[in-house]
Amino acid sequence: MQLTKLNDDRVLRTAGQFLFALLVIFIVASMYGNTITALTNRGMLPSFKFLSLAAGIDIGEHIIPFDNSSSNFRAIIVGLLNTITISFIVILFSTFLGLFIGLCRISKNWLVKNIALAYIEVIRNVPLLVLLLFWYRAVFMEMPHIKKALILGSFQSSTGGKGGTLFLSNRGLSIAWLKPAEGWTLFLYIVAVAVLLAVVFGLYLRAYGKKTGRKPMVFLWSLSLVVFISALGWIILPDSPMVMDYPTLNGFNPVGGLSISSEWGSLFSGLILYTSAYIAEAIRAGIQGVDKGQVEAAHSLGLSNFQTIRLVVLPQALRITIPPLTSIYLGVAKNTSLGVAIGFPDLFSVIGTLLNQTGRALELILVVMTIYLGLSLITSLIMNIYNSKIQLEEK
Amino acid sequence: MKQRIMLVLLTLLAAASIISCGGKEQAAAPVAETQVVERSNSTATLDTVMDRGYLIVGVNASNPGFSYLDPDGNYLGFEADMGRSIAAAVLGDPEKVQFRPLTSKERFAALQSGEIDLLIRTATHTMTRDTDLSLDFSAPYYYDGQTFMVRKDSGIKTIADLEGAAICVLTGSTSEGNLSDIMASRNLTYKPVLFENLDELMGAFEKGRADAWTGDRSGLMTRMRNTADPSAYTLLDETISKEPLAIGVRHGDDQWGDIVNWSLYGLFFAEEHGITSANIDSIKSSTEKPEEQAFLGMRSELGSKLGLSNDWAYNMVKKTGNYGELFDKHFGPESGLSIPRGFNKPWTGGGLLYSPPFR
Repeated sequence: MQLTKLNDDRVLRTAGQFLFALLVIFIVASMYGNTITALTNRGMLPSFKFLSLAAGIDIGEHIIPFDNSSSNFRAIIVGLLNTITISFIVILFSTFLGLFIGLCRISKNWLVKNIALAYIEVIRNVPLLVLLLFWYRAVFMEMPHIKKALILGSFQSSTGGKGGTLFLSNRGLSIAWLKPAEGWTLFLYIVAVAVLLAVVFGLYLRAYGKKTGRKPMVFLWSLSLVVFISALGWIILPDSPMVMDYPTLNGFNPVGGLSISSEWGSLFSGLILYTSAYIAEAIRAGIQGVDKGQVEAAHSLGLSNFQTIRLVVLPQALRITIPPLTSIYLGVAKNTSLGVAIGFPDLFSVIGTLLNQTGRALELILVVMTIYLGLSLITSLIMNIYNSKIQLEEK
Repeated sequence: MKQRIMLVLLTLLAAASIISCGGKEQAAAPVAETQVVERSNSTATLDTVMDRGYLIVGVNASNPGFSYLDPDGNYLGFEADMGRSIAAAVLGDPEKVQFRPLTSKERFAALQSGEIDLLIRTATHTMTRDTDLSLDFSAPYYYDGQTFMVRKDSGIKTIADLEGAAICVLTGSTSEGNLSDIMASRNLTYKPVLFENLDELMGAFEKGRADAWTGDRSGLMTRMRNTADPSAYTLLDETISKEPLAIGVRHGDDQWGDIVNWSLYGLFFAEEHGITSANIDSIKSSTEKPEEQAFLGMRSELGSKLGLSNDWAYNMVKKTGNYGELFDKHFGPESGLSIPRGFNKPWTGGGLLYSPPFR
């Protein structure tokens, strides 16, 4: 009886899995126990109290206010926001650039095709760090010194400094940018009302469409309504909601406007080049994965080249492209951590500073690992949802 | 097939039982025994070093003057030689030492984990590091202070002139915190540009990316010489921080801490008493002073109180020289650096180097 049970494949399989799970738990538990014991022996039990203490540092680029008395926790958030912002912008830009290069890569024009090929091969075979250092040292640092900065639309500012629409030097780029003024809050209310009206109008349009069987362009109409009311509000408001903020150079650095540091610029440029080369290859794989017969069929139906690509090839190519694209996107957030080499205060750089200020190595490494894991999981979740949406619905 | 599954199962079972035993042992060591463990740890470093036959010292691999690698792979510099002095004191031979290059981020973790025996890597003695990191520090072996390097033609003369400036900092040091504190206390705004790598920082600074570069005075002095045009730069007179550089050891290992401290005092004492590697033999044979006799191991058996041989201090000074000799060799005029001794001279000459009595 016993023997037959042991010989039963199902029992054996379940038992095997059970034992394996046990094994994993034991390994993890003993590693954990070991760490805690060793740390206790050295009198350095992990503690996260330091997160609420003042960091006593400054961070060069911050989206939310940060100064000497801000907490360590806030410092981490500042770094995280820097990482997220640049990742998002890089993903956006490199997707378009990658799509363009990918399409060039399969072009029938010999020159276009081979330029794209050379670009992809060169960029993919150079380490990202080298690319970043190239941009920083050979491009951004070689721009004019701040005293000889390139200034467009130069004028004498009222404070005695030099103003301009654009400043370009090896410290970065400063350009005139819109800045909220007195009327801004009022204007926001108007926009809110406009959005509300548009939603109501959209719902009405949809009901109307269902009743009559005609399909009005709900989104387009609602959007135009928002734009129209907002524009009207902008014009009739007594105080302009936004004013142009011009950068001025009074002391060492231009103040005002939108400024992009050389470090940000180098990281952005390097990452876009690098990422777009990979995206181009993913796009090419997707497009070439679409059966040739589809294109021929589209042509024989009288669709133009552009229509064939937009309506027949791309929707199918997208399905093949999304999974590799997801891994490329995941890489971007992690690759931004190389910004530490060229002085960009991303999450990893901030963590490094805190690590030295507080000495809490284990805790901070745990924090940074958790954050990067979280970022990756969120990205892949979004991509998976999108992926399942565009998959062929089998009927 | 079934046999194979059975085999896998058995292996897993065996592995699991071994692991679980290991786990139980771990779990069975109650926290209350920590004291015992610590005590056994406290004699460990000297025993470990003796058994191993050489000392492992954590140093910097690229800090001219203090500690750096030469093209042949040897560690040179003031801190490296200080490691050799302690090796001579403990093991009688200055070459019985192995150097571990460490970044500022790695240095304390390497010491805590026992990877190195002592840390001589421009580490500033601060209260947090002393208490929170479970480290102990020796007496300072170098009194440094933070200041700024600026271009001579920038017109910056004092810290107040730095309003709105971009300032370079090498990460992983106390410099970032000091800079932030001083600027906050004087209500000055500035833009920090942090670099991990010295080459990147120097490249950017020389190109004019930043208006000032802040760091320890000694470090800035040595690095200013490496710029393309050293005469274009100058250091501000103001010093914004106290940076007592000290040797780090693990907290709780009192004997090892004593050895490191008294070796350092030995270097101070020898200079104070004019004992050099050149004249130590003649002094040993002729000195009538009881303290010098005790220092050189001719009476009182001071060495054995540390767990070392009684000629430990003799070995150290004979083979590597006193503090002044080390300083002149690495920072003095013939080194090409010409760093003034400042506070780093014996108290008898108005400095801060003060050795407790050897008695």
